[in-house]
Amino acid sequence: MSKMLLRPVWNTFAQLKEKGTKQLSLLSERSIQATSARNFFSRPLNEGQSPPSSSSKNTPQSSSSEKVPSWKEVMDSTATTLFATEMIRGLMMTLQYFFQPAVTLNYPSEKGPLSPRFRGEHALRRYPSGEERCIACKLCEAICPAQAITIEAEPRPDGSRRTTRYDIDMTKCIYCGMCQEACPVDAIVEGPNFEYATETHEELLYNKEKLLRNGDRWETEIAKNLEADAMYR
Amino acid sequence: MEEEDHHHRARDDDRFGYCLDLLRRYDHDQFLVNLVQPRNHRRAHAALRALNIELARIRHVVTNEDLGRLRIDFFRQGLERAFTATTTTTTIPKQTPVLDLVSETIAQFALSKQWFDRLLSAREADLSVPNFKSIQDVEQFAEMTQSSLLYAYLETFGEQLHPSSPVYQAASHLGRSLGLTILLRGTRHHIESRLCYFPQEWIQKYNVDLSRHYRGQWNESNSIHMLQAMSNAASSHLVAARQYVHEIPVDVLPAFVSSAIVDVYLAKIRRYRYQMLDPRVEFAASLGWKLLWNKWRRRF
Repeated sequence: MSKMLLRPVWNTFAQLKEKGTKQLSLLSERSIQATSARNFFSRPLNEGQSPPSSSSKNTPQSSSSEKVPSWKEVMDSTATTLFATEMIRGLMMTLQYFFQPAVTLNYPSEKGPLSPRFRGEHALRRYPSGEERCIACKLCEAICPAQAITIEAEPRPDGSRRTTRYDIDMTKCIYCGMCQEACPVDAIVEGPNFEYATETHEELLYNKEKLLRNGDRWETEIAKNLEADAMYR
Repeated sequence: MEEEDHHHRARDDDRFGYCLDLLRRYDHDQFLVNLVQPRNHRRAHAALRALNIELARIRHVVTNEDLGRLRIDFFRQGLERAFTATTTTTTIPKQTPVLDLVSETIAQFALSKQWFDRLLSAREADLSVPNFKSIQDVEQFAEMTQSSLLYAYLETFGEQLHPSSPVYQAASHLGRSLGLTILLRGTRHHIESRLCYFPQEWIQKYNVDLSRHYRGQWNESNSIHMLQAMSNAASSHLVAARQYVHEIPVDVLPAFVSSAIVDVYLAKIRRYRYQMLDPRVEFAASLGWKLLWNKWRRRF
């Protein structure tokens, strides 16, 4: 029993002797030692460790013939431990990052960049004249893989077809963007807005008024995102 | 009654304004061309070019070929309705500003359907990855898009087009050179999405390294020879078109001023030694002046 308790101490002594380094660790297991914070910033992880084939580690008795650490080395390693130089080095690293510009965003007031192809909250657009674009062709309803869109339409007195009902169940929608790809008049689009969390399910069942209001609110951004630079074919 | 008429015209101007706005944003060259057209033909020109924009944009917007076909079918049906309305006396219901203006043009000038069919089929074929065997195929594509638009526009001047007439020949050659110039100019934008509008035969002939071509290394990949050959083909078609200049009636000449686009951009591309990634290749401030000059000279 006492032999088993002593064994780690023996190992530690053997390592100290064979390496002649400043390492003084009470943890003798190699795996823990390899990832200990001691080695983390100061030098590569496996530097100074004996190769695994070394037989001296398992037999402490045989290491007595190897080099005995000098007093200077013992003093150095003791001083490293007592004055906690690693702690100071770590705090210096903290101080260094303290003076560098922050990489995080102050989210609600600062926003990260968004791709022009970002697919967020849906919107129904209008023409500059104020007329709604949607002509109730129902291609979006047909293409929607989640069947989240419901359209009802009837012709107006002047003969043009418009929707009387355009509902999107935002809790069914999978944001695949098929509706905006299928729309031949660019009426339904997935705009850049992603902040529309609600407290109830019912608020996420969008109707035509809500979608048109979204379109009016986000038109500038949507138009900018849709714009390609020129014609090249 | 008068008020209603005024209201009607205001709404019509909405359509024209919308088409002009599309031209200004997506196809600025043709917007400038539109400005020098005769007053009675500006609406027709804007309608045809806006339709072209709507069809050519589909490829950018769509990630799936079938969705693109759905969109093209929408325009095909809209045009179909416009053509049936010219034979019967039914009124066309309002659809979209572009289709409305095109329908109005079709009814007003009795345009023939074949040009629109050719344009639609070329744009539909272009939805997949371009794979042209020979330069004739590329020219065919250019002819089916740009020349078809020119033919349709020429019909608004009351021209009876048949393949032997000099007007038809000139429009055919001009459309080809215009189409080739547009493809050449767009090379830097095509390589962004790894598209190659150059024919297979040239890729083999000049031993082009396509992976370097897509990275824009024109000299290392040997594609500079292809670029040169394309610009030569475009300018030779322009020369061929100009042979007919004296046989074309003077009042039709404004339809041909878009030759200035070919002149200006080919000169730019040659001046910067086919370095298509140079942003200066894309902008030509002199185009507007050149168009005005051509209009005033009554040449093209």
